Amino acid sequence: MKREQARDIGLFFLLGFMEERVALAAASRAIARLKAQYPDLSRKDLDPKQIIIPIDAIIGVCREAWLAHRGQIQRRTPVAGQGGEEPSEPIGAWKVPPSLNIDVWANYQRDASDEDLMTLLFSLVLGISDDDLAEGFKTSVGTIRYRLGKGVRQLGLVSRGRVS
Amino acid sequence: MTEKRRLTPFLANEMLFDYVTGQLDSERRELMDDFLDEDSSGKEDNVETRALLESVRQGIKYAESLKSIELTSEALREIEQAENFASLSKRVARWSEWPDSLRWSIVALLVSVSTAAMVVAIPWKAIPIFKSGPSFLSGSIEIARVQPRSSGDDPNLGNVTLGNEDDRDGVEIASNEGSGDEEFGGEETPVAAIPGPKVAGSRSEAPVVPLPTATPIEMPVATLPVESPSQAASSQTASKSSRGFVYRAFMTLSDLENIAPKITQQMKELGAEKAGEVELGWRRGSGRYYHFSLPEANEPKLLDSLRAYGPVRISKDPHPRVMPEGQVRFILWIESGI
Repeated sequence: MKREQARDIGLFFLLGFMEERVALAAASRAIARLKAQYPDLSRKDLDPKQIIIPIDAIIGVCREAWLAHRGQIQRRTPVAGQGGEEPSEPIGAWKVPPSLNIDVWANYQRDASDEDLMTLLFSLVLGISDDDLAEGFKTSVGTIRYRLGKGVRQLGLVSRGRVS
Repeated sequence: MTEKRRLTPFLANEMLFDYVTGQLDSERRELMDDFLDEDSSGKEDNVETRALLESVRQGIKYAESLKSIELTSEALREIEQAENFASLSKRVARWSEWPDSLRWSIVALLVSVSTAAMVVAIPWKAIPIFKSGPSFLSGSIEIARVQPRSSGDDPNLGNVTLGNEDDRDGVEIASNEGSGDEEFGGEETPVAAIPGPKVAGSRSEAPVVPLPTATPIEMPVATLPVESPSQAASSQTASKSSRGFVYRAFMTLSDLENIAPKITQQMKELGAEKAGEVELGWRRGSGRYYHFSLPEANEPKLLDSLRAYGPVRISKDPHPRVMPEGQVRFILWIESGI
């Protein structure tokens, strides 16, 4: 498996759950399932670029892992430092650039729906096209674009300090 | 002239994302442009839309900046190496993924097992070049130490091969405490080659070599004709007279020093002749050794005379050597004791 793919899947769950341990567990679950479906991913003698994983397979395993670990996190509660529960002890699984205010995302992630979150992350983090997302989510492209529009608008409002 | 259609704020807000990402067709894009530029018309219902437009742009920019987040190498390695039962099973099942040491060990083990199985399974005895040791098929059998002798010495022997396994005394005495007799003989037993069925490549093709002669024998005996396997069945019907035997007797006498000469004398009177190299009553340790042939008719008399000195334990043992008609062979050991 390409290192970039593993990194994208890990980032998908880290941003989606904002809980490092749960996110790594979910990412590991998804990657393990991909390896089970595509044994060539484990082969060291093959160039990872030669191994083609269908996008709908990636979406499928990530959604499955998301739903499996979703219950282990508390969302729609105030984030740390804003009167909410203290998050679990960070384990330093990711490195956030100093120029990036991760609290913006944390505020958005707290209130967004699972489908909106996954759609936004698949599209903007994993770079999956709208058509593939529509196929993976078994919905229309219009629905995907609606979710994306709603997501980025909300994210922008949070970013500008105008949380609605 | 018809008035140009105008977007409602709701529709404009909903099309903002597509407007920013360039997904709108030209007509809708033109409508969006008109809607957003309507400030000159005095209507301010597009202010909110403009703000949202900026939010969408900023949101997209922020979302794309999330890609700059990196996972630490530890976290990345952890998820890269993730396996579940199914993936692990498939990986283990793939031979190429096994460690080299394990693969070579298994190969070596399989080769060893295959070799062992082949060694066990192949009937080596059936392959002529792998035959070893004497066998009936080889046409030779170890029967005794024999000494070829002219058949003219004993008319009773006819044309059988002559020999006496006990008569290599001159050779054996040195290594067998001097008896030279089969009772005291060592393990050294030459093989008398006997013609048998010829088998290509087998030992039966080896020339028949007469055994070395140490000293002339005094009591010739005939050796058993050895049969090939094909002849084995017919040998079952041979007469009992063709089977050799030897009497083995044992006594323990207290006054052996005085009795032994008397026994020797009585044996000679009954026609006993030594059958080995050593004389009758040969002294060995504290005992006396008698190896002799005797007319069969005098056998009861000999036993009676021996029993006069003490109990005699006697057995009749089969022996490959066949004595001439009317002759029997005895090996008597008398131990000195109480």
